Amino acid sequence: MSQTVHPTDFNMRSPHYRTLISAGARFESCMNASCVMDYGNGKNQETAQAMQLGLADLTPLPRTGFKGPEMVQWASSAGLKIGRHNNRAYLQEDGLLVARLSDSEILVLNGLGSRLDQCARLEEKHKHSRPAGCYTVPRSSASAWLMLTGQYSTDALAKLCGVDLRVENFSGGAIAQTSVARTNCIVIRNNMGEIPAFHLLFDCSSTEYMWSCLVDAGMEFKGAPVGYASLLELHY
Amino acid sequence: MYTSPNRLPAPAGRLVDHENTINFSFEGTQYTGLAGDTIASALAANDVWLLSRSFKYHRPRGVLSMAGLEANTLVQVDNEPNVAADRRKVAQGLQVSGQNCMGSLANDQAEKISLVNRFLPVGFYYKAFFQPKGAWQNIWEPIIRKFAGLGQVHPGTPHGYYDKQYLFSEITVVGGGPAGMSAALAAADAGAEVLLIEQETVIGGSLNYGRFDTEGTLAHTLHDELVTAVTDHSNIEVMTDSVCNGYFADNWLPVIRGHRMYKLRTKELILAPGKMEQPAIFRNNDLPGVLLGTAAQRLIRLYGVRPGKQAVVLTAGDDGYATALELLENGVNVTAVADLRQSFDATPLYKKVLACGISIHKACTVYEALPDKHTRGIRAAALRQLVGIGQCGNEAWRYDCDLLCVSVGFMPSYQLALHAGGKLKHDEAASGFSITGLPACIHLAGAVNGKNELGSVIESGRQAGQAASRKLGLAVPDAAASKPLNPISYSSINHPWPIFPHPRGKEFVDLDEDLQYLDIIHACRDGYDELELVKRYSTVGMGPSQGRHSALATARVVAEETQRTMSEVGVTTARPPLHAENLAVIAGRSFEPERLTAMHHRHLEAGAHMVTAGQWWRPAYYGEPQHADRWILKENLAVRNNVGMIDVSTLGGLEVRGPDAAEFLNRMYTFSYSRQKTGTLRYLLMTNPAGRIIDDGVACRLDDEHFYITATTGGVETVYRTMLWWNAQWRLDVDVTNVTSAYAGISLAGPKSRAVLQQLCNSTDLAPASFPYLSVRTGKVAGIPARLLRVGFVGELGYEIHAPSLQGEALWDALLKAGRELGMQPVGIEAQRLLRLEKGHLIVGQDTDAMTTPHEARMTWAVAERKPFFVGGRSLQAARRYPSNRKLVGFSVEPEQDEVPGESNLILDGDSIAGHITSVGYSPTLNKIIGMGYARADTEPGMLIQIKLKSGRRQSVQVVEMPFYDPENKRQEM
Repeated sequence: MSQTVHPTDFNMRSPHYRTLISAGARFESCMNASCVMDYGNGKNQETAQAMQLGLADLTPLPRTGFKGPEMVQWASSAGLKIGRHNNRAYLQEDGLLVARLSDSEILVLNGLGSRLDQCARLEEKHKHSRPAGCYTVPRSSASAWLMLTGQYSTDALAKLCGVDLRVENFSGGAIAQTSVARTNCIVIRNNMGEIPAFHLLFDCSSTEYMWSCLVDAGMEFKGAPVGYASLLELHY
Repeated sequence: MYTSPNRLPAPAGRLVDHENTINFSFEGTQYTGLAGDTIASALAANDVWLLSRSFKYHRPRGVLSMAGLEANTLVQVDNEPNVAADRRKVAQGLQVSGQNCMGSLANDQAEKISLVNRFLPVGFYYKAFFQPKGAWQNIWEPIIRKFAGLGQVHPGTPHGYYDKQYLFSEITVVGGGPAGMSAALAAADAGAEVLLIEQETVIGGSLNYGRFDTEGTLAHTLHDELVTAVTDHSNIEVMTDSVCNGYFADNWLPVIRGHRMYKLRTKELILAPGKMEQPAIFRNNDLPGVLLGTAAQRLIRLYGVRPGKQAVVLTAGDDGYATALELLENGVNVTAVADLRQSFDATPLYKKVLACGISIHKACTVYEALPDKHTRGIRAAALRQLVGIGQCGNEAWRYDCDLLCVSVGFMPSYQLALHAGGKLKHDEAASGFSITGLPACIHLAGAVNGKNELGSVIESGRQAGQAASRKLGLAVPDAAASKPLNPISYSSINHPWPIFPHPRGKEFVDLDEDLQYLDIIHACRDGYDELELVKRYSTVGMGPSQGRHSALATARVVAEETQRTMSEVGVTTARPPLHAENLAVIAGRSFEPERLTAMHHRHLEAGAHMVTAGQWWRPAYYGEPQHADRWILKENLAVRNNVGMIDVSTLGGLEVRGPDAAEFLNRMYTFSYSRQKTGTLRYLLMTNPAGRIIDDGVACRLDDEHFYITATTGGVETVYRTMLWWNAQWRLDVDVTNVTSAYAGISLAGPKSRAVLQQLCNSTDLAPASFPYLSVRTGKVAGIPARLLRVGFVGELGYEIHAPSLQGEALWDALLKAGRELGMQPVGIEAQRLLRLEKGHLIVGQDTDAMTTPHEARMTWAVAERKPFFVGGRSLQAARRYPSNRKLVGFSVEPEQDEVPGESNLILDGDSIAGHITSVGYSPTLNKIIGMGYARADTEPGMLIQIKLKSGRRQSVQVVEMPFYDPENKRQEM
């Protein structure tokens, strides 16, 4: 990331970049797109906000997916370490988060701190090897990616989602493929140290709607949008 | 200095703050209460007891239970009707008024109805209002409408914010009284995560206000001990001011607190809701000043309010004596106690009352409460000696009083247990109730478990808490080691027949509905002798209190009248909600998902009028709605004569990949795909197993094992689901992925579309020979990776460009810029629908219905009948033996008409309906009104069909060949 940019400087744009601009977002370029770096509130304040209840748009960041009966075999050959349990996310050494959705499908999220498009590398490997029984899923263009962080994130999600996401029943790495605000959503708990955090992936055409629902749910907990910089602060 | 006539000095009143006063108004008069007061307690402190008027006879009514159980206390609070005054806290500046009265609450002109009550017997409306003919609409309904209802709904009331939240718990305890607290502690001690739900503002239940011993200290001691233990326990979360309003399957509980409904799931449920004190039935038992004993105790201990100056107590057990002592100690002159029992053990409470010099009349009842016309309350109680069950002798006493406390029995708060499938059983000998038949995950504690003696109540809670913990696999003491419970302890608290008919009536069984003793008798004698029928005929139990104070008495009267036992009579069905709930709580914060295409904001910026298609928003046309026709025609002509671009992102998209991809499509669709060449498109028509059309689209073969197929906006989810369902059986080596949202789609259509695209598309040869009609290419458009489909839905040279959705807006921008010099126009779906109509292309779901076959829709060209199998194929084969009697035809009409055909207008065959118009519109290109619709199967071009217009007039129109436009398909194949 570097200098301040505008989302329309890039072909790839977050579906609700206008909402983010209205909220005071400051964008920086990030792997062929623009990503909200912060909302101009100062590093400490924004990190504190993320620790309380923060909502971040990670849609411009890379992600991908693979599916098919031979998916596990291919993923292993590609160097991904995937456990045997479905609905669990497995953190790779390079920061990639591999969410095993079923016996035949994974969702791969770029490492939060990575400056490389790790997902593109994987897709390239797949394209090159053309494995039978393993197909790509265009997650980057199909699914929006939001992250909800902070001590009240579970409470805020409880207003939208009928799954018990409290840490005692939904520990780090747990995945729920469920409905959030009546929209299909993949919820992945990915705590940042002691701070609860959830990845939310859902149909990108519902981004504005989902964002508004999450903002609304977070209001009573004084939730607010946070930028990528605050996540990096928590991440490290 | 704050003073109120009936306010007891501090520290009386557990819930009120004597240092903090609140000013509010009632019926236009200013009053002062204390923080923590309810409206009713604050008014009672000011010696205001008249709160409402009854529903039917407009009789004066006041506090009865102080527990929010009856309609007596319903008032209007600002814009909010039907607020329970004995539950709503006073707030600064609150404006409260009575409701359901003509004139003022004190002088309700409608009270005169009471004078003619003998002409309004139970069920009179069934017998009276249906005749003479027309009387209902013209006479009765307007009158009844005027009188019906309680409070006033103000449509201009500002919206409040109401929402919902999911909640989870291992063990939930409903009821924070002694049983509930004991249960919660036992479960929490075992290690369970416990949620304790209490509807009052504090936990403690009857320990907050009840008196259980002569000194009045036992409740205090137990209260402090249990409440402290509960609040200090880290495993217990307490929710006060929260009403569990029902029980639904799988331990789903709606819990309402304030403006929020919590949707609670719990693994184990302990019900400890306590019990409801029941009224006695005697003349004028409904007047203000007649209170249940617990209500008097609540006023004193919770709110520090003296409930009267001079009292008579009617009792059938120790509770009445406890009430009498409580009144005495708080400055109320108790002049007499009437005890319904002939003989009983002299308990300490009885002895103490006796020692206080109060007259105690055994085997005696209150026969009548004498009304005070000035205060609208009571001025005396007339007592009679009992000479039989419910029979009063001539020996009588009269005691002046403004307060009559009734403590003759309790009903367990059984409703939640019955919601969960429990059955309420009556013990005839002991006049008590028990609940059986509950699911194993539900446990009862306290009064609902038949326990009423305080020690048994607490022990019952403990055992329920342990049982629930044990179900969770937690270690708890052996069940056998638990202290055994007294199996029947309710016998001492319920009198079997506290019902005393009066020759002049006014002994109310149901206060909500103004139903008197004889009303129930008459209902039975009219033949409605089953309780459920009595309920519906008389409306007993159908008021706001839902029978909480009337169910027991009604069951007793019906049992007596029909010579059956209470068990045989039973109780009416209990259904959620338990308490009246604000509709806003149910409606609040509903979620209405919306889907936006990547170009949504560009449409808005271009002035589009947006419409919904399922969850999607789509541009109907670009311009103001008042000139919609103008914009649609303009956009239509832009495509026909120049170039337009249409956002088609909402079209469904599916990737079908794998060695068996072609075979899979062969089976799913009517056409054949095995020999489809890579780089080509082919039409898709899907039928269901019955051979009815359910979707269509195109199949793009990207390579031997990869098809990218489209589906309709509304149908793609069904198509995807259907594909997965079928392949779960076929086990073909194919993968199906729904990529609808992954791709933005833009249809570039019109004779100049190639010219626009060429500016942005260097990597793909767009020449007709290289990229002919019905072919597909992958490449880049404006540097954006894209799939280019040469299709002709609107009948012109055209391309659909499918690109990653996050780049959709950039693609739109680039195309718009490229087309600017050529005058390219964004086109909405209304013009697109007209364009395809001109071309005779059908829209599945609009031009087809749930019964349309390819034959009827004249789509047999898309059915490969030689294929060995496709979904619906067998049905279509069979259908050939039974030809349809309808088919889709095209028609045209000259535009200069007074009334033009519209969609859904019927197409007639003589006086029978042959079908209806599915699509119709004015074609500027053809200067005709053109349409499609279902007519008789033998209808041919040149014939006339009859259309029944909206006005009812019939119009003959001529059937014509389709397509209406460019029948040689030259334009789309340019």
